[in-house]
Amino acid sequence: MTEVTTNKELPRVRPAADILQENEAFYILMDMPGVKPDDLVISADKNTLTVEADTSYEHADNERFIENEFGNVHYVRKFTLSDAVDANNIKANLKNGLLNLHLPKAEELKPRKIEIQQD
Amino acid sequence: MVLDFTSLYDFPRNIEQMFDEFWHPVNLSQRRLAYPPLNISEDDSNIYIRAELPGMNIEDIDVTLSDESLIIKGERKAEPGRYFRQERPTGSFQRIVNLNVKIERDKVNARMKDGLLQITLPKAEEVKPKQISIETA
Repeated sequence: MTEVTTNKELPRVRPAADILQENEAFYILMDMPGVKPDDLVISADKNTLTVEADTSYEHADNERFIENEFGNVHYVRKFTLSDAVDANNIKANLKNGLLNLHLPKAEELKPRKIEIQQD
Repeated sequence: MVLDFTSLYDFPRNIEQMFDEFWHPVNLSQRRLAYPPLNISEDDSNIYIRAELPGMNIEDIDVTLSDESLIIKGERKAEPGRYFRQERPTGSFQRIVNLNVKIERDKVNARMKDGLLQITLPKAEEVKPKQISIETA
């Protein structure tokens, strides 16, 4: 609808996220349609994880729009990391517009099997 | 005598801007009512339908072209696991787009990239605009 020239003018959108827990790790799934893997910026400092990306939808100049329900946006989302997460080993995978963040639990918080000793 | 209407001329534009801002949140809430959000456009030879469907494979989406409409159907399944937070929508969805022009049914093409479904529907030869050359006498 509106011609956007600079990234600063893109509407900021907070992408929907699911947070799941497994024994060894936490997972964050985020809907980020229209984002190319190269445009994704993920940064983690002491206790904040920030995910940012611009979408890159394109259309020809001679297209006439009849219905327009989505457009280019700037996705931003911040998460607070607890001590339970090993921030140095966070992995990210973007496929089909779905971002999958894998946050392993800190070593000392992983469930541990306790050997039972028999006399 | 010079009449300066500058501030007055700006007035309707301000009102317009106010209305734009006023309508903006309505657009956003309407957008949530229908899933998936669609963009529909056309040029002289094609109709383009685009939909945001992140995290879905093309095999899980059913696109049907009937006589007068195009139907996009599918189901978003939740990942099994222990959820702390669940914001991503799940469940079945369907959207119907009415087509009021004839389509070359054999040449319809659908592809998926970065969570964007793009369907290209070529218009039938008889509805394409034709240039008529005018002969000069």
